Amino acid sequence: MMTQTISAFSIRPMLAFVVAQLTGQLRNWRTSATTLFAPLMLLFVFTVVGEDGEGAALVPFVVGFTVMFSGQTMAQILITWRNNRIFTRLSATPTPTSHLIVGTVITQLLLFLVQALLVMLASLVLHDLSFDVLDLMAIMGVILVGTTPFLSYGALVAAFVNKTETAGIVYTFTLIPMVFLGGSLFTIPGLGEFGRYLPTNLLTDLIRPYFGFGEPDAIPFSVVLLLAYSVVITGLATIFFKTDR
Amino acid sequence: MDMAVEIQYLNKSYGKMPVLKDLSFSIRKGEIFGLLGPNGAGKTTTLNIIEGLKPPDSGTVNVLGMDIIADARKVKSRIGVQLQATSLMPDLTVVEQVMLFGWLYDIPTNRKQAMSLLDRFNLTAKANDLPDNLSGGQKQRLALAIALVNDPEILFLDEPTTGLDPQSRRNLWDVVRELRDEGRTIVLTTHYMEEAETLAHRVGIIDAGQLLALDTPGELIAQLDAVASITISDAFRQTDLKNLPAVEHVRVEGGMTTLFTDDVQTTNNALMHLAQQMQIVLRDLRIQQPTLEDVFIQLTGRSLREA
Repeated sequence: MMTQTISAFSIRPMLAFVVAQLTGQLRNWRTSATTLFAPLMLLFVFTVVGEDGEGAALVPFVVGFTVMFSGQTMAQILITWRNNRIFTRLSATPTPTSHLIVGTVITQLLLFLVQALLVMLASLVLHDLSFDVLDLMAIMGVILVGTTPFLSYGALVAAFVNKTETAGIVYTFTLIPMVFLGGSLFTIPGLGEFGRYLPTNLLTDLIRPYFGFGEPDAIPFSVVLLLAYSVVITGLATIFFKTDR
Repeated sequence: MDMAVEIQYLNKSYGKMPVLKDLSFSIRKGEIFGLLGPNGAGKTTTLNIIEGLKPPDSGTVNVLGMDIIADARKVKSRIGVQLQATSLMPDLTVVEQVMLFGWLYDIPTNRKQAMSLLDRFNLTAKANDLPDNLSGGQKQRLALAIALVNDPEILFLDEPTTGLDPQSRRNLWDVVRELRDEGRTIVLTTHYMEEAETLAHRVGIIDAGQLLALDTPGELIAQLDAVASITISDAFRQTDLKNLPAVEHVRVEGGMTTLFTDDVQTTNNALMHLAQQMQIVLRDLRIQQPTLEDVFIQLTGRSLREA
């Protein structure tokens, strides 16, 4: 009988898990297509109702908004797997659960990168925006940095919520106020400096300069603070999230 | 004797409710070990702890000579697990599930290798189906195929035949025997007495988190202070039956008469002789030996179905 002992650290199982999840997503192509193209609808509406370039100014927000909702998907995946005992079955293998969760994060990052790319490509056509390759790579990096705290926040929501429907509600009703308080979409007078430090605002501040809006000087500040949010929220999610109930 | 699993003084509680109380037993290499008990007895919790899925509150578990807490990953790479509920990725086909689990053991598993495993479990035709399109028996066979993806030395099967029709159940029993013949140790939980009696070399009877008895099914029954019974259609006088040798008592119920005897052979011979004398044609004659069910009743004071 063969005896297979898994090596101390191998990324092959994690990569296989990413490939398996992407395969599953592609198989469910109707749902995937709807999810991927949903932000384009928002972009289209802004384009139609916007006047004299206003629609173009909202493109960074659409990209950011797409990224912000990554956490909701993350929360729903984690809750579904926990409720269906998929985590339990997977954790009977030698691959650590943390690798599986990192694999899930990578999968979601890839999907949201594709989604953000679609929005940017559409904005090129609709708003006559232009990016060079370096800009595009920088935007991809920015999106990666920006998505992480929201994915972690999704895991944190999943730590306290048992149903996917409830997770959607909790996530949306905490995200939307942050969007408005932070002034990601428009500035509300009299809110002071507080909103500036919310992750929603930091994310749109990070994206805007690449589309010709906002302050490029704000980029390092936003990156550092978003990374700090990632560390704190990931830490909390690690403490509170359980793969089995 | 080489032990596959050694459990000592295992305790586990969920909240304030104790589930396992000082549970200790060993499982020998190469045997089919049945853990028998009613729902809520602690069978699945015991298995989950041995598999490294749940930590014990106290006590030690050694699997293949390794501590399940300190060497969890090494242990997991050498065991195969089939959980009570078949939990699979919903959007992956049957063959993709097998491939994924192979890779999760860090074993490069291509489609051809996965197909050969599916072929063994008659699932080739279902290779490209999603798990939702499989019947209960097919799902259990897939779960078994996945449990074998790392060619494990010990296989843990948690109520593998629950919910299956009798034919599928018997088919699965054949597979379990084949796996045993390959030299694997098999640990299964069940609440089916017949399953434990038919498959297991040794049986541990567990109730309320405690091990009540552990031996071969034959020995457990032999230790039992129970008598065999002969049931016949009611065509004899009760006094004649009571006077047959070795008969302890007679019970008439629903048109059938049951003779309880401590020597089936002697009573049966005498009954045949009596039937011949009285020119009675014996119909519906049934001889029943004591079973594990009787052992369970004696140990717990109730039947497994009532428990």
